[in-house]
Amino acid sequence: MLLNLYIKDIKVLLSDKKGLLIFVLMPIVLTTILSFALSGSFGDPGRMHAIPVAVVSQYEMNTEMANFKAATVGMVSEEDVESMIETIDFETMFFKTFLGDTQLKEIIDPKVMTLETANQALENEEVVAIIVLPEGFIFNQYVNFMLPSRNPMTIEMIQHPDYNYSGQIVQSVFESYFDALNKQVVNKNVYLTVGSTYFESQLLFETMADVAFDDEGGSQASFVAMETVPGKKLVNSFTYYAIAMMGMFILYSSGYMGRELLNEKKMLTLDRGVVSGVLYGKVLAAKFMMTVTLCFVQMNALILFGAVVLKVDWSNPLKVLVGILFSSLAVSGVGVLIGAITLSANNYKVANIFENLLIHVFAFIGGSYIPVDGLPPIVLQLKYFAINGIVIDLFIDIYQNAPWSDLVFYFGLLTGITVVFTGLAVFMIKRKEVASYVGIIKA
Amino acid sequence: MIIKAENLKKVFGNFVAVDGINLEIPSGQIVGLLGPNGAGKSTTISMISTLYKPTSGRLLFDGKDIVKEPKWIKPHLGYVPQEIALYQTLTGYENLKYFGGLYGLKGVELKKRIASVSEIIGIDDRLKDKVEQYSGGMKRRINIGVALLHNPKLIIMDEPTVGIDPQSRNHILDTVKLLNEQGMTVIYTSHYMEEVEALCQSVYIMDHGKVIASGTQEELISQSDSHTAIHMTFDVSVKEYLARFKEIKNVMAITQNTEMDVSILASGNGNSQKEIIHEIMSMDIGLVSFDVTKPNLEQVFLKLTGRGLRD
Ligand SMILES: Nc1ncnc2c1ncn2[C@@H]1O[C@H](COP(=O)(O)OP(=O)(O)OP(=O)(O)O)[C@@H](O)[C@H]1O
Ligand SMILES: [Mg+2]
Repeated sequence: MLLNLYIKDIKVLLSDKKGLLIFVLMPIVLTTILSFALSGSFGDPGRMHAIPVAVVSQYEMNTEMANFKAATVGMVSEEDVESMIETIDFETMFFKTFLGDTQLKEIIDPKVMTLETANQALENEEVVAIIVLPEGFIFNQYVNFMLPSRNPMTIEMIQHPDYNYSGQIVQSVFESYFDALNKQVVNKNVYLTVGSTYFESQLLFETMADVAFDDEGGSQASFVAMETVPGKKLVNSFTYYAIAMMGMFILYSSGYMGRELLNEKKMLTLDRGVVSGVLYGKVLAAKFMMTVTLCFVQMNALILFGAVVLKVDWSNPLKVLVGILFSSLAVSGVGVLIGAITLSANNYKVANIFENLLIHVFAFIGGSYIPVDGLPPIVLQLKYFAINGIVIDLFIDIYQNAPWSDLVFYFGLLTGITVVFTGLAVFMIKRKEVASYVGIIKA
Repeated sequence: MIIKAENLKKVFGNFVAVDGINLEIPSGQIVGLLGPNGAGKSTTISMISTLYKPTSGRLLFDGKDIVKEPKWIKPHLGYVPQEIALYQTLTGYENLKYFGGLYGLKGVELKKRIASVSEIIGIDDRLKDKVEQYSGGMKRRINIGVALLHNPKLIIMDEPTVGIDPQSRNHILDTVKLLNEQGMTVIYTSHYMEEVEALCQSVYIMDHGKVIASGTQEELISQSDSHTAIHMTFDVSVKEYLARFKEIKNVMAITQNTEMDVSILASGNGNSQKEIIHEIMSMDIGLVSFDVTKPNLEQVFLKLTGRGLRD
């Protein structure tokens, strides 16, 4: 019997081709429009490629090395200097090991340029930022590493004002590199100060390289730091809106259910069912299952669209699938409550208010229109009142391949919604006597 | 009695829609429920169909209390709502299949039932079309068909012919007769007096939530003291004959419209007008034409309430 009701509900759903388009096509269209319109504030100039960055070096290698050797005269033997330069090559380390790293290249796309062409490129939005390596870039690094003194050094970053988010990412990537280097420098200074009282300076310099790089070297350390770059895996506008629109449009599935229940009451098909012995609980259960199906298919379609057309890499299909399942259940829970309210109110008002007002309020506070991260904390708190807010955060985490233990939090929230809303709906339906629901409604 | 209602009452808020009625529906009959808009017909039917719980009173199906245990009647009841209660975007076939399934029909048996029902209602060639593409008449027919799938003992039809063409209406009336001949009990609601007259062996007339009269059509007509009116036209003045007319048996009153034009009111049962006409013709005084208006339920209702059945 339940299966019979469910199949009928699915058939009715499928027979409404126009309605179906709203569920899938609308979010696709909106995702595309919004991602392009707002791609600037998210970072890259339109595609999901790594962020283009210009790297300008203003130093002259020979001069740097000559200066360094001059500075060591009388402090360290020429032999030691030579062996140190051989062990640590700051230029190779920066350009080859760091900038050449494949992981890094997924995030930023560095291009070495002269200052002039770099400025031009920034103006044309071909790059998002310029990193200027100043005169003394190599010299200072050697000095800071090998000699007791510490020469402060400023790496300038010139950023395009339209690409705030990308700029932030670029900045954190480079900062993490130099932070890692600094850490080694601090290590070295501590070592020198403490150590020099015990050891001969000769011995110190010999072991210093080991100390400085004892956790697998500076370049490696900088990539450990990269993991903490805000946003982890880059969430560009396409990814964000693919998720945000999905979060919003699944709410229409809830609205659909409320509407359908009342339709059945008005069309008297519900009466027919009741006369033949169908209980309201079964009607609700079938509609719940139908909504789960609708939402499940809808989300899969949108995820697929994201993957194929927008090139969103969803990381882990299983996490995506489980995420969809929990989201669909919650959407259906909301739907069943709207249905119960609609039914007892006996008019479309509730479904209308939900579709025309509440969805947009939810969309806003949940972050479907614009990311809410920049908003005041109070608004952020509201986020989890909106089911789409939860779904958005969940799928951003899934996209960033967060561990299951992180996702469980969202699964819990969604299950809570499912249980509470469905429970309320069942309570409402039970409270009112079945018979008193069914009225003869004149067309 | 397949249905027995005792003192059945339904109150909405403080509006009394059905006000303590008694019904006795014998098995195998077509029983009419006649009344103007708002009389309480649909409300009564909804209580029998277990859609509404009566505010008070008893309702028995085959002697079993269906207010307490609606399950007694459900498998044996076919219900045709006043409005088209179908999934408009599904095909006729899908509708029949779904509603048949609700009664536990499936597989070959369901297919057979759909075939036989669609033949009865005469829409078998349009089953693959969506209901929304049907004409009003076809929608009405399938609205009935859906209620027949499980071969119910009792079928309740709430104004099944509203707003359709004469051809479909006749088809529906024939269908009702056919079903009844096959042994189905029918409760037929209408405010079309002609339909009830043509179909029903007994009639309940309702108004303002009350049954104001009931019985066979003949009983109702004689109870109501309605009369046959004979309108006659002659080619000469019949002034001097009026006194003789008055002496004919069953003539109650004579009204002379013009010298050659007379109306006669006849008492007695349905056949009294025959004798009167025969008598006058045998006087051979130039009767040109006559027409007879027999008493009908409309007049019964008018007599009882001072209002017409339809506004
Ligand atoms: N659910 C309801 N709530 C309140 N009043 C109702 C309800 N259903 C019916 N009524 C009222 O009860 C009265 C009887 O209605 P009902 O539908 O039974 O009349 P009816 O004889 O079927 O009329 P019609 O010929 O127009 O179908 C009407 O005045 C109607 O407005
Ligand atoms: Mg009615």
